[in-house]
Amino acid sequence: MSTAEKENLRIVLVGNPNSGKTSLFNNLTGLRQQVGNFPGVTVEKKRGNFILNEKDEVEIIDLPGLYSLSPKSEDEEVSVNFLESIKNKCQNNLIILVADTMSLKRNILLAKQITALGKPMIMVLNMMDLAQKNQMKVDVDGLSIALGMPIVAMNARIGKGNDQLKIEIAHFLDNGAREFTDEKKQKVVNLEDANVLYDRFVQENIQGKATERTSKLDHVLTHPVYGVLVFLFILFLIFQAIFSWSTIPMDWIENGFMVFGNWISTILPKGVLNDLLVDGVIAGLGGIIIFIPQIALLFFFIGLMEDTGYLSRVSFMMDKLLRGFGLNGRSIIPMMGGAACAVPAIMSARIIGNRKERLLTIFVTPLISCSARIPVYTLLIALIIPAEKQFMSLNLQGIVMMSLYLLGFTVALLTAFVMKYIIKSKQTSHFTMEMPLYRTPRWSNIGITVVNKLKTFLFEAGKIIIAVSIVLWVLSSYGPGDKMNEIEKKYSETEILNGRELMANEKLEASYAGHLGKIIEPVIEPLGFDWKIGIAVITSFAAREVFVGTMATLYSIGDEDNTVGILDKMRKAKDPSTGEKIYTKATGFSLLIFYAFALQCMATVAIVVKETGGWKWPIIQLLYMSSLAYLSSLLVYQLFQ
Amino acid sequence: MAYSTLDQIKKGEVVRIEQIQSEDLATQLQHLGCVPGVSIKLERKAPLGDPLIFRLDQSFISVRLNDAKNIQVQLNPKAAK
Repeated sequence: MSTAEKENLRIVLVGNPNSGKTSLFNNLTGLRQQVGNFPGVTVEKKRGNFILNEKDEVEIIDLPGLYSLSPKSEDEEVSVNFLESIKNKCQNNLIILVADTMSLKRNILLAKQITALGKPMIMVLNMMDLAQKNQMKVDVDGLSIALGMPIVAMNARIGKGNDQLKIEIAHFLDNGAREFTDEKKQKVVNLEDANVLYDRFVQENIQGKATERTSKLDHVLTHPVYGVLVFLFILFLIFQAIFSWSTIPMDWIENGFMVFGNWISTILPKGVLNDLLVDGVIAGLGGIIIFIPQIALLFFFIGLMEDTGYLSRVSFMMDKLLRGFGLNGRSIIPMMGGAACAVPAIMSARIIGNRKERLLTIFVTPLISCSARIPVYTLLIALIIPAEKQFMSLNLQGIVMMSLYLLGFTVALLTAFVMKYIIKSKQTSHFTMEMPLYRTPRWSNIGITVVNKLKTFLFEAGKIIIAVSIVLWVLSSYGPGDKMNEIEKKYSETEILNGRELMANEKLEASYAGHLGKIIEPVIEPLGFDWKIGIAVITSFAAREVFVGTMATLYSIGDEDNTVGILDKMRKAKDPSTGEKIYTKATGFSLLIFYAFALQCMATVAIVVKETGGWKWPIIQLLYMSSLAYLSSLLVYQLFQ
Repeated sequence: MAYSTLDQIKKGEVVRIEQIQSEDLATQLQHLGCVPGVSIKLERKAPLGDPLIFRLDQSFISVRLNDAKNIQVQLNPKAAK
């Protein structure tokens, strides 16, 4: 083959869900992957590349899992459409079917379906370790000749068989597809055929160890009593990790940023640039980077549950309960994912075949408290509840945090319950789902997922935060007319106690941002919000985590030394006219509820437009969640006041 | 030979799939390798009694009671042979 053709080689990975395609993809590409906007469970195709034999660059595409070429859900449709699209192109495509050896029978059928596309293929028999544990024997050479394609036995989890696969790919690059004599090829594509082939080339042991182990584990993990207890314990453990253990690295980051900000402010000349960098960008970014440990842990645990096969059991246990609310057992996957981030979670709702159930899941997932709410919750809870306060020997701050998560989940279920009577559908609903065999987690896979997700989170959130902090800083440092100068003049003439702070406050009020806050103040006053909170509500419309950055910026303007944390500043904040504290319990709880329910996330709106194919549902969702947030905050404020 | 439907069998019982009533359900099950002629065993029920986990060959699949009603099975497939 000429070099020009070699450059065009593209490998397409296909296979059942859980077959280990993504492991193979990660093994081959390492971190040379093009990370999409929000990498989730593979429900969208992923691209990457690798270097073969230190010379040829090969492009590789990982398609979402599929069971057959007649798609039953949206994620399967992505794969099937892609395969159909390459069918008639001359481009140099090589299809690699990754098959779980433990369910080889249906994979033989799939292999024969894909052969019909007329593209060269290699079959990878993955999870050979489990098959060997089960004392299962496969006549690889025999099957290879019968199917008319090279077969590579592999254990993608530990990278075993990688080299042989690369040899096969290189052979294809240099010599084209291997020839198999025609008379031995099977031509008919039907299940009976697959059964015949299977029986001829595979010997299995009914009492396989791996299968037995899964059966024993399920006996405990899906048990009516122990199963539920284990699930609750896992939730508790995740909660403990995120809100207690992660405080140690978070303190380091917070202190680091304070030192860094002070250092920058001393090395740069005093002036506009200095203020903008220290008060605007660094304060805003610091407000988000501090939450990396928590977000990483959350993605890690969800990845772990998915990788081991446990998440499917959670779906199984929850199916009947969720069905009562118009959802499906599968809905628990997007809903738990929503605790990390609603965007990939909403994409993962594609695994739900029934249109109505999928729509309901997409509609309620943003109500689950996501990781972007963690910064807001943490700040507000610390503000209104003393850290040392206990309730029945449990930390009260933790209880409030947990209640917010429960509240989000409960309201999501209730919303689905009401919506199920509004949305009509004739489609039948099933829960026909494979329960994968339990496996030890593939740590590197989970690691890559966590790194990729953090990267996107930081990049996406970082972009918005830097832009918003700059705009906010400008809006709050300048104001209409001559008012700002007059205030400065007034204070420079008189020496009074706390003069600097009072001046900063008056200047903020006279600035453009202050004017904006004042405009919406009448609307949010019944919720207990003042104009400064108003500014934060406006800036965090695009992304709720901006709230913390905005507060940091608003309260650090005028603070020369940058020594006191944002929390102390907010705690001390008083209404200048009445002298009363601004962040009372009533205002704090009202804000908490507001941020729990409001849809302040542009990325979520955008993904709902994409996934539902129009603006109808995202607009209904935005209106619903905004009214819910406003009315609940109003109620809470009036109750606590 | 005795026949029944899949929702009627006891835990641990092995039966053979005879016929699947709904076409939609039949395709979904076919993708998981569950077609007329194969033997399956009821492994366990979910904590709320529904859905069910069945074992076929080396894999496990879950099916709702409602759907299991539409699946006709032959009892004691081994004895019948």
